Amino acid sequence: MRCQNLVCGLVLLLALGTSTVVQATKPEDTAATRAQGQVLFERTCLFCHGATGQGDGPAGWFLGRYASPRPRNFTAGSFKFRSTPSGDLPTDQDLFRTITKGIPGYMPSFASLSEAARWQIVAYVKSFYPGFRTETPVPLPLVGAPTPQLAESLDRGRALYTSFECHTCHGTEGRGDGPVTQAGELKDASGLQIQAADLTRPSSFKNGASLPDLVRTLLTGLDGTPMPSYAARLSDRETDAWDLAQYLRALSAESVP
Amino acid sequence: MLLIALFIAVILSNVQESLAETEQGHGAVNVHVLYRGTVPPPTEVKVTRDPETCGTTIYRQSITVRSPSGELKDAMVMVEDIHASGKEQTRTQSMVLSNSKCSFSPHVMPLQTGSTLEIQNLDQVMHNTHITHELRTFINVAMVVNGRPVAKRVANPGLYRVQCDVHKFMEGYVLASEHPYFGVTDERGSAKITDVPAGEHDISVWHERLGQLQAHITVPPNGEATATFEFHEDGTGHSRRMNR
Repeated sequence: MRCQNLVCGLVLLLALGTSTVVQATKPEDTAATRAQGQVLFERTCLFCHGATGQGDGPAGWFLGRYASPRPRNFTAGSFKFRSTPSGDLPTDQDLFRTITKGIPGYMPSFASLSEAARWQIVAYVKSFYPGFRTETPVPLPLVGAPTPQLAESLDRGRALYTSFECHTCHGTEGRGDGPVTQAGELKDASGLQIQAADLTRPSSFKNGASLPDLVRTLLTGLDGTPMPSYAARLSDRETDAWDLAQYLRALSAESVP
Repeated sequence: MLLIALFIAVILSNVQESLAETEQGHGAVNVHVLYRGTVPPPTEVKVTRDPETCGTTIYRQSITVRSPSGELKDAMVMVEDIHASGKEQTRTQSMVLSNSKCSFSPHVMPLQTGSTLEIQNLDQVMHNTHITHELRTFINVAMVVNGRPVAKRVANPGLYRVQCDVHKFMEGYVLASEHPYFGVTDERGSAKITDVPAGEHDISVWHERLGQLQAHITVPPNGEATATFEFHEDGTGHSRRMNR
């Protein structure tokens, strides 16, 4: 019972830890909200994502026309950073989180905008893809919690890293130098060559480096890239995803918040 | 009284619609697909990963032809100008796509939207089955050794490309149709689509390397229409049709 309470407590702590993306001021998704979002989008997002949301804004040229990643094409309906199953659309909260936190090394954080403004941008971004009107994205549950016994957790995480063949892309030591990466075979949805993440530099993780962020990435994969979803495999045992995430964090000596 | 009259009118209208459909009838479409020209030699691909399962060399042959007649296998056939009425027999079902011997089996798979695609890995190496529909990811899942199958419903019509990011020589195609009038050619280049509503239809044939051909056919009630498509080496093609 004590153990169950501990798990509940950890889950609660994790939930509180991600509360920076709460939706307290989320407005209704109306034409007026989208119009307000459009004004903000054209002021802040257009330069990279383009006036029609196809990821072809003028600043895109300076980001490297033939380098990955390109600014997201919102009309394609494919989104990397989600809490939903592979191939599904992101939830509103997912889009809000990306706008709020940004993408290290690529997209700035827009946390300086008011929450209401960020929600208005979410509403406008969704209007680029008609699937948002017919599909209802449902997040995958982040079940389980980190194991308190770190050494055991790391041992299991290391074994999973091997059995899931993460080294194929990320390398044995997680430096993003696996054989498939080195062979230049990893391509994104546009056919542009892509590098596997250097797991020893979590501050550069595009989808966040906290334990819940890592678990979410392992479950959902990153659509539009070769990073697959491990949701089917990681649902066998509740601690698996957390053990693997603990191990990924341990690959680096970086201090991660 | 007025309500009763309206009710009877609606019933009669439905009966008339049903009678009209019955009178219209259904027929079958026989399709033969041929390739005229020299079959290109298979492309040799050196395997750099998992040679114990995949072998050291893969010979990719994207045009499978029965010689000397030139009958083309794995061409997907579909009636184009027809929409599901909701009254026809559907072909929604669970369709299994296997990662087997470092290839996708079946290589091409037509199915009806609403079907569930069940992906499984029969190999003792990990694959990652990455399926895209136009620019959107349909699913990208790690298929670890001895892992359970992964299933997902196919909701949108169109062509889906299947790849494995770990073994780049693996590829396959899924063609999702909104209606049940589709097929795929066998080793004899033949496909038969049954219970097609009688009348005039456009029918198309798609092959992953040779492209698409289209023909206009008339399906007779309780009879058969035959269409023969010919892909040519120079990228052209034509079709013949016959009704019985």
